[in-house]
Amino acid sequence: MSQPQTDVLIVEDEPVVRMAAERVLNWAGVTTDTAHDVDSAIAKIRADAYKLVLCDLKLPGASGFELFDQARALVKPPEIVMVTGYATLENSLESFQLGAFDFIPKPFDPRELLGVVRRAIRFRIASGASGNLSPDFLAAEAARHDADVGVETYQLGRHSWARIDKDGMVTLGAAETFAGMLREIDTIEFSGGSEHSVQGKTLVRVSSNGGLVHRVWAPLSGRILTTNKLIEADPQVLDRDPFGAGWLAQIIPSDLERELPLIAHRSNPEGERNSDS
Amino acid sequence: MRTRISHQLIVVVALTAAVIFGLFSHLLITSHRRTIVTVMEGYADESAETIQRSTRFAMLQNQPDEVRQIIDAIGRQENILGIRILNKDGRVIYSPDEGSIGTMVDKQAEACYVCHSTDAPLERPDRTSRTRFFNNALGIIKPIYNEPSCSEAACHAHPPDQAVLGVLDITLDLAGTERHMAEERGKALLTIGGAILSISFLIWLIVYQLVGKPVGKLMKATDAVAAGDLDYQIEVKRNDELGKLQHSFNDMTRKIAETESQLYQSNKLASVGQLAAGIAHEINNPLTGILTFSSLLLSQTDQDPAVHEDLETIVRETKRCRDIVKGLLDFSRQVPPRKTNSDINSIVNQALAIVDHELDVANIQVTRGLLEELPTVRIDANQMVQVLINLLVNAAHAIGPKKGGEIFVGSDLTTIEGKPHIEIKVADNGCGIPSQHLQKVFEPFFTTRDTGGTGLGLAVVWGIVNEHGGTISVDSQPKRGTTFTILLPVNESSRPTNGISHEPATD
Repeated sequence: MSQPQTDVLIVEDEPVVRMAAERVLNWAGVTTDTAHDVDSAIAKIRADAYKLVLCDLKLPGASGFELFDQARALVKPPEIVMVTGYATLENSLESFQLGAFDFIPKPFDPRELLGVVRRAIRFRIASGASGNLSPDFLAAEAARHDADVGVETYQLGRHSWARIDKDGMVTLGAAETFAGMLREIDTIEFSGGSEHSVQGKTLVRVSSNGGLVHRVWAPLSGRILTTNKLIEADPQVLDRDPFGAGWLAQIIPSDLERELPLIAHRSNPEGERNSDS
Repeated sequence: MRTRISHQLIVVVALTAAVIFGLFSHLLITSHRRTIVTVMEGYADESAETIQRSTRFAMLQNQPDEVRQIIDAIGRQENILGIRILNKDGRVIYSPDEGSIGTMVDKQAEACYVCHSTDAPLERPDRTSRTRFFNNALGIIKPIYNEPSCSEAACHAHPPDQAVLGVLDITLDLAGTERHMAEERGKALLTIGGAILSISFLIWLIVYQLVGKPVGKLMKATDAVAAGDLDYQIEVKRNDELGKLQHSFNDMTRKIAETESQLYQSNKLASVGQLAAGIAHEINNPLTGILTFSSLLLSQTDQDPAVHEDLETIVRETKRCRDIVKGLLDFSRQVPPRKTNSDINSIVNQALAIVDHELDVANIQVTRGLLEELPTVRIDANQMVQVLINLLVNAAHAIGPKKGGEIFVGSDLTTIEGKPHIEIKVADNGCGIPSQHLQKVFEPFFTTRDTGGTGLGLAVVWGIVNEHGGTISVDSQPKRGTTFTILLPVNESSRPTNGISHEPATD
């Protein structure tokens, strides 16, 4: 393509936030472009093949959510990450429902912003935007499918998953936009004293590559029964087998009836194929 | 102008008394009068009889002078207005009034009419017919009947076939009697008036004591409350309906005062929350700038320890700002509760488990008074755990370094206005809160601690409880301790948590 390729489009009406994001990303070698509102952002997305759009939720004129409608019409839409000072549960859930890659509450930590952007660019590259899939991604994909055979999951976007076990417990884990994109995982830490999981709130914090910060948003609420000791000892398991040995926590769900419809149901076609053979 | 109950009652009772007494006296006086009249009639009749008998002999002897003398003597009596004897033709033959002798009376006149209304005169009329009343006087006529001795007397001619020889007519003076009757009437009226006056006074006294005084107190209280004095309380001394009414009035006033203070508090906190939320969002953007640029600088100044340290301070304090903003947003309920059916006791235990270490280090004794078989309530378990943690941490701070610190955490089921509520109490024996601060403890940024604490803990607690449709109140005595009481409504769909296991198995 003859189009110039910029990595990230920052859609933000607040100059200081725009500047801050640009500085962090440029400093890390990520190329950026900026837009002030949804309309100019759409014009830019049509003109350039961005890997990622960082979009503020509250913009003058139209809401950041409207970007999803416009982006869907493109042949190869960029990943979208919502950034907001109104970090409510509703906003985070809606972002994932609309197909957001991730969600960043303001004020963000540069390491968190960079963490999300890095994952998004890796995912974009791995999922074939540039034509060559990374070996890491393929390995993770294979592991995921092995573990995933015949299992039905519910997913918060493509970000985290929940599996309803036979005993009524629910196992939670991180999904493809997260797990396979971390590279060197340093620590995995449960937020809030590992007592509760709340849908749309931070379940674990992961630090990777010596300074990037990520969070896994919980797909369902409940009281945490056990956490995976294996990933604490060997965090890299999360990368290798996110749907199997890399699970994060087991919970007693507290409001399944209400929360399940808010996240997507996914049955694995791979499993069906296996059972046919 | 107000019409007093006592006045109305007095008018009604007085009128009724006047009618009853008046009627009674009237009947009494009338009957008295009838008796007197009968007596007078009898007296008049007897007098006439006496006169007849007295004159009989003189008549038989045909000595008209003697008859005249007797008539004159009787006619002079004080109570006799007139006396005369008429012959059978109606001519006056004897009378003390010399001039009238020989005159004819009109047979159609009142006195004669009784017998002479028909062609053949009546010979033996009864006494009542013979009597007539006029001008304070009583007249009676008495026919003088023919007797054998009359017709056989030597003197002259009373033919034996003539039945009535003449008529004796006496008029008695009734002026004295009438005076007496008037006196009686006067006395009766006086008695009635006196009785009505005393009854009225008695009624006024009773009504004033039983109704006027307590109602007056109530009216004064109503005025005071209407004017805004919600602390006004009536001194209740009675045990009757009005006493109960006063009691209810006091209760009502107290309740209004409580509701008003809650409403005031909740309005104030709500507007503070809104303000805080607005500010928080505005602050988020500049905070992002500060955090980003200071973090970037931080990562570039590893070689210069002094600058590095300063930058670390900036980053740390910026993060603190971020946490305060987050607290403000929590308080202003930007995060709506995620309600699930939850067991309060398990929430209490979770919260206690989290702060267990802190309480242990501070040597604080925790007592639990949890009511088993509480119904579940629809609440956000995480938020409610946070509420309890905040209260427990607050209690621990109130106790401070002093020895013998105790915290009581209790749950109970209670009914408020007919609806079941779960009551959660967190009580400590710490330093207490001065009364002038009690109203402010739930306000954001109100803190008595010198260090640590954002002053948001209780504001967040209030916000969460309020969002759950519950109330939180605080009761405290300086140096004795503080009790926080949370009331959460129990929704109808809730069931006792372990109710099922208690049901007997039946087939």
